[in-house]
Parts: sequence; structure tokens; C-alpha cells
Amino acid sequence: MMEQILIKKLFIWAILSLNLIFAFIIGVTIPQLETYNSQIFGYVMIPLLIILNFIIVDRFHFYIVQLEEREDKHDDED
Amino acid sequence: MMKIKAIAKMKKPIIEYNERKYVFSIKSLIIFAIGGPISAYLVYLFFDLQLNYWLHEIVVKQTVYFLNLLFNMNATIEYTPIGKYHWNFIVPGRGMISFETFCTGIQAIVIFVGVILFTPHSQDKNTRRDIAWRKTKALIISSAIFYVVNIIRMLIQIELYYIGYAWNDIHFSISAASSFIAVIIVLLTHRWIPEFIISIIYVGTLVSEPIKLKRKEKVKEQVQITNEVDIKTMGKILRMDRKTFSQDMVTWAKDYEYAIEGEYLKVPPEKVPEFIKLLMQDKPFQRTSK
Repeated sequence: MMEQILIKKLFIWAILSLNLIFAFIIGVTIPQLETYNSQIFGYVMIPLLIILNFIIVDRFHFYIVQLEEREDKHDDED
Repeated sequence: MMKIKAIAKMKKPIIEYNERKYVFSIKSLIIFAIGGPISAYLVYLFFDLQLNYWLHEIVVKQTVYFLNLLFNMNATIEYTPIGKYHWNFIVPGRGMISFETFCTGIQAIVIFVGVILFTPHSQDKNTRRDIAWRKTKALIISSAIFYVVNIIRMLIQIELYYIGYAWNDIHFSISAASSFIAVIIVLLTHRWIPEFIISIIYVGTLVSEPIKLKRKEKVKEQVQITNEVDIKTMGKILRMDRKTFSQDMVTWAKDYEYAIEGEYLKVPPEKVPEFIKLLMQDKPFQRTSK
């Protein structure tokens, strides 16, 4: 059970890191763009990344609830 | 309108798939049918605005980078902020190719964004529990695949143009051929959000259910009055295969101790109440134990 929790923690940590790296790439890219109003790139992408962040955290919550349910079921069977 | 009201009043069918139950509200199905295409079109219009030409720039620059890396082409780009579209490819020895919003592949992405976002959620609690995560996964992966396939499409087209093919010969054919990827995306989407395909099947079930009920009512009335029923109608109710219909009907009638005379199934008077009971079940003539 502990191993499962650890794997899920690592998974969530990995996708949160990817999200941060993507936000960093957007930040680095904007000054390189030649198009007028290139900052719109950030205005479009950052809200999407914030929503994604929420969904990743929500997924972590889902894993915790799922594990708790399994533990309760296991205890009932014992 | 009357039909929709009748469907709304009807007992909702449940579709079971991969140990999950799928029940959809009529409202969510209507929102899916209307909201999906409208939102896709609106998002496309948003990305077609001049203030979103940063997307053109990113796609053009990535394509040119890979053209030079893979084919050593020495292709360049040109930014001319005049007219409808501002970005162009300069292919050495062949001239200029102008870049427009359609070339970004955004139209394919937004169609799937509309479909995925508006796919109805099942009313079953366990099924809809992780829908946000499944939808997000489908959205990100389908958009990424479309984006990458679109860049590969442009690499192939520009390389062929560079080596001497006429632009008109390669542009439309390869663009059409690359749309096969939509099939793969539909299959992938089904893997994560089966609600998409199941909701379409569900609409079919909702429409056919009143017809089935009407057919059953007609047979019930006929059996109560004449003790006989047309075997073709019974075949439809029992969903028998047309090819093996005659054989299946004989076996089925024998099993239930009914007789077949010509085109009619004769139900003995003492068996009529049981016949009606079995007929009016959700799944007609399905025995729980025998």
C-alpha cells in the first residue's frame, strides 16, 4: 500500500513539474516572438495551465480518497 | 417537441460498458449536439484573430527549424505585417509559401476540444467520478498529436515542393491524407472518455425505445384478443438474426411450448398471462433461471 502511495505521489510530482517547465518555456518564448501582441501567448496559455494545475491536484485528491476507500474495505473484510 | 417530451418521461435506458454504467440526461445530450460545434467554431474564430498570430509564428519557426535540420534546406521565414496573414515560408529556388490559420492545424484541434468538453457525463456517480481527469488527458494528448502530425505534414509538403513537385499536386492530397489521424484520435478518445461514443449510441437507444414499446403493446393486444401473433414482429422483438430467423424462431417457440402455424405464433390460452409478463420485461423473454 505504501509503495502504491509513493508511486502516485511521484506521478503527481512529475506532472506538476512538467506543468511548471511548460510555464517557464512560455515565459522564455514570449520575448523571442516577433509578432505584435505576442504577450497574448501568455494570456491564453497561463489560464489553461492554472486549470491544469487544479485538475492535477484534484487527481491527487481522487487517489487519496480511492486508497482510503480500499483501506476501509480491507478493514471491513478483516 | 412532443417526441422529446415523451422521451424525457420514459424510463431511461442504462448502457453498461467495462463495468461502468452510462445514463445521460436529455439536456446534456442536447448541449453536446449544439455546444460542441458552436464552441469549436468560436474557438477557431478566436485563433483566427490577428492578436493570436503568435501561434502562426511558433508553428512557422518550428517547421523551418526541422526543415533545415532534417533536409538541410536553408529555408527561411518572412514576417510582413500587412494584409490578412503575416507569416511566409521562403523555400530556396522555389519561392514563397504563405501561411494561414488553417496551416496551424487548429481547426482539427478545436473540433476535438468542442467534442471532448461537451461530451455528456454519466448520471452514475462512480462513472463520472474521474471525468475531469479523463477529459483533460484526452484534450492534451489529442491536441499534441494533431500539432505534431500537422508539423510533419508541412515538413513533407515543403520538402516535396523543394525537390520539384507542383504545390497544387501535393498540398491538397497530403492535407487530406493526413486527416486519417482523426480516426486514431477518435479511438484514443474512446479509450479515455467512452462517454463520447456511448452518448451517440444512447441517443439511438432513446429514439428506438418508444418504437419497441409500441411494438410490444401491439403484440400484447393481439395476443389478448386472438391468442396469436405475427412471427416477423416477434422476431424483431426478440432481435433475431434475419439469416437464421426461421430456425431460431422454431427453437424458441419449442422452448416456450408455443406452436407455429404458417406466419403466426399460437400461444395456448393458459400461457397468455405468462407470455405477456415475459414480453413486457425490459429484456423480453429473458429468463433469470432455466
